[in-house]
Amino acid sequence: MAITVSDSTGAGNGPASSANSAADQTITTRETFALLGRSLGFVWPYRRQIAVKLALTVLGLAIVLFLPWPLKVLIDHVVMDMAVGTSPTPYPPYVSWFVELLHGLTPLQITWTVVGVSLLGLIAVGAFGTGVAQDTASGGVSEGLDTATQSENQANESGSRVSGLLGLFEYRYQLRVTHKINHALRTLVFGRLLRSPITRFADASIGDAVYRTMYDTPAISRVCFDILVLPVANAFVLATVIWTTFHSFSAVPEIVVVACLAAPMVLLLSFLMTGLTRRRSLASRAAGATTTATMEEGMSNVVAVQSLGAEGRQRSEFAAASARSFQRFRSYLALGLLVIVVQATIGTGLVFYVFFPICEAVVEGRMSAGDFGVVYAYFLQIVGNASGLGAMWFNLQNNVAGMRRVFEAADARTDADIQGSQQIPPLRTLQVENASFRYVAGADALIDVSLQGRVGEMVALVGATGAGKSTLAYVLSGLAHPHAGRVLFDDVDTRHLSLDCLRRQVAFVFQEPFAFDDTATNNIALGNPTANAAEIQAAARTAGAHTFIGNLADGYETRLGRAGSTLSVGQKQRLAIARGLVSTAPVLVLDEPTAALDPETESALVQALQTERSKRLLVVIAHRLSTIRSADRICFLEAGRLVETGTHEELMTKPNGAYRRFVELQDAARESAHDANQA
Amino acid sequence: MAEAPVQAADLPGMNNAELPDAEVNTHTDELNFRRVVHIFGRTWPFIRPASRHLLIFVAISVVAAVFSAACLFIITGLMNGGIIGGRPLGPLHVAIYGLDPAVFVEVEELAPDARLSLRWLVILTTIPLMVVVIGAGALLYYYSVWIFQGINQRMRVALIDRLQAQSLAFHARAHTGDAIYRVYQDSAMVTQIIRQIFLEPPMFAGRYLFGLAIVAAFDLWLAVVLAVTVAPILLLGWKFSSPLRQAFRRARERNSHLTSWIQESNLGFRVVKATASEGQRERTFTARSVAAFEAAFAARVKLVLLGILAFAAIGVALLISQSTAAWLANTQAETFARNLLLGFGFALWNLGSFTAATGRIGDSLGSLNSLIATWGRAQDMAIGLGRVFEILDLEPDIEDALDAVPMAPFAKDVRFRSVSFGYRLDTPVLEGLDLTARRGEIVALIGATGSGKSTLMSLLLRLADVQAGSIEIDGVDVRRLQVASLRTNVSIATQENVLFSDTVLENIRYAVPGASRQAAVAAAKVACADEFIETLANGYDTPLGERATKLSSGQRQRLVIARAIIKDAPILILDEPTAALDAATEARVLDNLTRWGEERCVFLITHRLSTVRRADRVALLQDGRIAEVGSHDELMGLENGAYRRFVLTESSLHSPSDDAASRSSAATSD
Repeated sequence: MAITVSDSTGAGNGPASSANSAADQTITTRETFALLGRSLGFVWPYRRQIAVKLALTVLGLAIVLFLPWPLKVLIDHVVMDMAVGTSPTPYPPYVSWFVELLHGLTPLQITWTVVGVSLLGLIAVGAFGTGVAQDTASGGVSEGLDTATQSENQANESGSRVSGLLGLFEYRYQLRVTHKINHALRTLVFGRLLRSPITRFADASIGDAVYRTMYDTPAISRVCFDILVLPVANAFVLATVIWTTFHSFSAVPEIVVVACLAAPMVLLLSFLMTGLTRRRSLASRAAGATTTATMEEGMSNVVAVQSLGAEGRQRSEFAAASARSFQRFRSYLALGLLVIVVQATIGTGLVFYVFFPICEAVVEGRMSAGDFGVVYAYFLQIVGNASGLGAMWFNLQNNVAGMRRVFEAADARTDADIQGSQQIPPLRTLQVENASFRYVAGADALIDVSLQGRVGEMVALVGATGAGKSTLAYVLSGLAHPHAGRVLFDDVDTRHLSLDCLRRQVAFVFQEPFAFDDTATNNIALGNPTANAAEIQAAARTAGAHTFIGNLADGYETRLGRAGSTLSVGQKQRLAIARGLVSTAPVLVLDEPTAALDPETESALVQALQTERSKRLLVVIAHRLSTIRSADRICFLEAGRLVETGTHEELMTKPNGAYRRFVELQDAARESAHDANQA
Repeated sequence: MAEAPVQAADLPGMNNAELPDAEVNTHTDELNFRRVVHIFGRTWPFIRPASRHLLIFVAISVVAAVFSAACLFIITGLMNGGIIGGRPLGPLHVAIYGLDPAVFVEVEELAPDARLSLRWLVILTTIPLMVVVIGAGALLYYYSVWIFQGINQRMRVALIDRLQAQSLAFHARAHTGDAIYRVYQDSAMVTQIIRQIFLEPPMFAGRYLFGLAIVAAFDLWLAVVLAVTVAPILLLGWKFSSPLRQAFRRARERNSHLTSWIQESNLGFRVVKATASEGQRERTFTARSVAAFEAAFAARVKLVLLGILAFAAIGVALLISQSTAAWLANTQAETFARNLLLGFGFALWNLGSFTAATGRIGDSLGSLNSLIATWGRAQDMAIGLGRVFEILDLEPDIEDALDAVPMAPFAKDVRFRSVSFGYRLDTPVLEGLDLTARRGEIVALIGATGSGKSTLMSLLLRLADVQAGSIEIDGVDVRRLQVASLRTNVSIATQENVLFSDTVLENIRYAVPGASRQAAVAAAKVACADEFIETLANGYDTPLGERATKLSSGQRQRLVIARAIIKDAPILILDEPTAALDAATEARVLDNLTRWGEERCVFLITHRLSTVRRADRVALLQDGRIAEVGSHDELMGLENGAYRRFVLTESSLHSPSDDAASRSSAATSD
């Protein structure tokens, strides 16, 4: 049964649903470009910094391209003892000024000049052009063998193709920019997820939220640097190399041909692998998210797992998820290796092709021994830069999946998107008009419900388990909007209210209480950040929380541990009630406030609510008659429909009324207790 | 200023107090070389199962490396010496390729034709070299990833095991986000340890020494330059180790701290929303994110600096040795071990010898460079592994005793003897509590919120251990029983309705994975859950989202009861089983449970009088003890009794005197 949800609530539009299905989806090239466009839009504010990075890269590369030439000088004029100026191939203009300096020097003097210049270069860019030692600035730390752990390095992406002072500066510069971008993205995703509609967690998992915020976001900065810096830098290298071969080595036409052909061939190959790569990468990421989710669930519910003796099951589920994520990563890796093998084979073939004519030219004296080294170094540059561009496309495919997951979260409807901008003073009346509501892929939770209330009244929502009481409470308080019908605060549709204004109107105490790992004071003050210590304690007293808070190690300043885990359920419930009471919202919704309370606390609370109701509109969901009885209006729900409304007395007079039956059943259960009481 | 760091102080809510310093600063001092070695040693148990594969991997790698080096040496002689330099070849070439010594060795300079004819030999030798380097290289890499993932998997699972074995007290303190981070990020380091500490350094050191030996054969002074370069590298490694470790520990801890915050914010998502405190959560998030990035920046720039300084030292050495080699070639000096090098055609310094020697010099110094880079990264790995072992080193506080026995079929009773317990030593929850519950009996536990009812039941399940006194089942202390056997015999329906993101059916048989569908349906019927499950889209096969928010509280509660029932355990604990149920459903559930529990021992924690009345006996907890115990009638007979007060309060809440319905019921009872 497929049920569509109207857009107005945003239910199901959250990022949630894609978590598990991501593996089955493919991303089209068109979507890839759309995502790229969005990513670029996101880094647009950093365009100046990225331009600086680009300039630094090109500067570094210019030096790298100069480096094979001193080595040629060393080989030709020192090792082979050739006189300066007799080289069979012309030096390119960007080197000839240096060679001019060497005219008339002895081989020993030439050696010292080369050493002197190289030493300067060593300090500035730390490079000596040997191509053997690693002479680049790289701060990458070791990474694990799946996507999640590798994103840690992506989040700190930076690097330079040179070392030395320039390399250090470039590294620091880019790292700052990367951090700024990633910080902004994480904050965006975190904020959006936090503000998505209350129905989100019907499907989403917390592990997925963590994964998106921490591990998916770095994809964007990585890709943007890649596509903005790499093509320009690599094109610069390729152009310089090709131009130089034309200028210096046209004596061997094969060199020029290969220089022109190598890059397109390497690139073409990379593009052909795109589709496959993309699917593997998506699968790998989705499996990673599942592993996190499995673990998160097991850890969060460790008490339930232990008390059921289900550690073994939890363990094998995690092991299976983890193994799957490793396996998917391997198949992704195998594809990458295949690309490298094919590329290297093509490269070797090309080198073989030019090898014969070059040897001929050297033997015939059309090229020098030193030229051999330069051509070799420049071919390495061509292959390196072309496969760098190809790898960029490959990495892009890997990161597109992450980018999409980030933008899904960023695009998810938030409450603020649904809400208008109207402001109203604290409301006097609340009205629900013909509201219907349905959860994603669930049955109707509310059908055509209407009710009203005003400040000074108490409305009780009553009905059997699953009748829709909590859903009605969400809807009437604006935490969820009805799919049909509307909710009015002082005759204004709640959708038109600004989010701030809407939230200020209602304080909500949830049935299943939650406490944050913060102090007791801060946990209560969430309801009203401006409340002072006296107000907080007064609320705690009313809620019956004052005594147990006082007994904590540091009283109100005690941190409550992860998700308030040092407290019992009843204690957390009282804390949640205090949170509701300290707020000044005109509407206070209590969803089964007393379920986990002992009778004495409950009795005190019911008393307190009587004084609260003069200041507010109280909406109470309860099973207990004591709480319900004094309500100005009792709304009795049955299977999502509001079947009876009225005061207790009115409803009790209906001979076959649903509410009357409900009360009589309760009484039957308690009859014996009354006997005892009267005895 | 473009390079301005993200300023922590500029951001509202950034406050160093947010970062628990105790968490960030611990252990920095104990991280010395010995501890690093110790940590690496601890990974051995996870490596051992893969040791055979690792050996195979190393053996193949060494063979491939030696083969490549030999091929390269021969090719250099052919190409740089022969073809390009026109120098005569060595006897070795002649022997390998069957060349004519008169044309290739016993001449002053090679003839152009002879030089060109060598090209095919270069190609012929390059092909097997490329096959080994590219093909075997890719396969070996894949093989190593497969090996290392296996090791990583073992470690992840061990971590999960250990975390699950920790008692409630541990989980009350720990952060879930931290656990995620440890298992995910930190355990991944184990694979890197093996690669970078056990495999690569010997490999790099081997290549360095190999290169050194060959260079020494060419010229002793060059070898001295290479050898001396080790000194500044060692000095750098020594100076940077401790600062790097501290920086990386900080980075990892801050990152973990941030993850915890994201996790908790999403967990408490509804409350955040209802209290409109998204902004507040975000401000702390921002502060923690900035702190994490600041720490990462400091650590990584240190790492880069180490690399750059090390390369400067190596660059100087390269420069000196390369120019010296060039000068030697210019003067056509004799090589040091000329008889040895004669075979390759390197008896004199010429282009061939220059290329071969500088190639080895570069390789040698390059290995040194990689070694120091690895050492820098190892500091980070040591931190990661240290955090992993902080968890693996935790002794599970609840463990089978050495002489633990399986639990015998439950026959008689459960006895609590002077039980004392507190989550913190200064605040006892239970103090000398005594209680006996017999088979066939329903015992209701009542008492104020926080009086220790749920805690008492956790002790029976050994989710925590008593601090004084004992709990005995049929006279056997539960600490003498195997934990798994105990938990099979004691079933609990918890107060917090925890469900898992799986189908309804799987949730019901969560603790009994082999249970049949019929058994699950039967259990659901006892819990009155069958009726609503049937209305779900796919009945028993309907998937529940994480935390099962699709169901109402009352529905979840009934699933949790069904889950406890299907275990068919002789001892059953129901912790506020009916709090979220309406009166009618509650009555039916309790009817079923009473019938189902006839031959068992049932503990019933509740606040509801209607539920209490189902019990054979009532035990009232107060001040960490059982204040009153007995049947409802007995306890009602106690003037000023606490139970009597409880009943009166409860009744006054529920039956106001002007209530028409209760008047009528009072009339009938008259």
